Amino acid sequence: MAAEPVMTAEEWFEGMRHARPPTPDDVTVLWDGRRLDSREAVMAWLAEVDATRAEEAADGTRAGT
Amino acid sequence: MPGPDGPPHDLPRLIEVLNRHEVQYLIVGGAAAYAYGAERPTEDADCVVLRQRANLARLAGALRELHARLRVGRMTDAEARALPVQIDATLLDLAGMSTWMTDAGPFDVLAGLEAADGRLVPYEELAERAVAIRGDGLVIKVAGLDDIIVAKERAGRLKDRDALPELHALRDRRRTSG
Repeated sequence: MAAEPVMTAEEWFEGMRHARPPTPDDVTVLWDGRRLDSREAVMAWLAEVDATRAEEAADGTRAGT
Repeated sequence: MPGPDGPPHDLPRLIEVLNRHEVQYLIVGGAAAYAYGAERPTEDADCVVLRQRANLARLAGALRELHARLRVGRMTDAEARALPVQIDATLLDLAGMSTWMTDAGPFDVLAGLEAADGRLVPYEELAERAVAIRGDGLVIKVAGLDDIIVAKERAGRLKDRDALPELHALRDRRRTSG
């Protein structure tokens, strides 16, 4: 028999108000394992995201012609 | 080293925004374990989302409404707010697991939960075993307890290992009473 939650949404909300803040090592991890734990790492990844957006836009333009 | 500061957990607001944007998600990790009666305090509101493009676009809309900014270990929340992060489906698709600070507190988006064989179990499969927390017109999907336990066993971090005896006890108690 599968376990079921033992509280209502209101009780869950109240309990979670006391959750601890996350730790500094809890950061975004990319599919290839890179961790975005510094401004430099984030900026490098954002450049890759922009390149992907440009490819998607180009593909969309080609598909529309 | 600056830590991840920012607003505290405001789950009613977070859930309201996710639901209003019709994001398909389910709660996992310590927040889900708490719903089963675990007493260990958790740190995050973790969720697994359906990784279809349209759903990621809806999630992006919800995160933008909550003024989400990446949590970056060596940056303060104020510094992270200044990063030129454009939240859209492409960005969410390219991040395997993303950690955010929002106006409703910290919020993490996972691609799935790890199975015993190391495979990443996606939303579609977890949802088949998910259960619901209900109240005040809300339905919040929570991953199955077995899926939560296996993921914590696989994660192998100290905080996950420490949580396991209590989760095993909750599962065993349920089996005994069921």
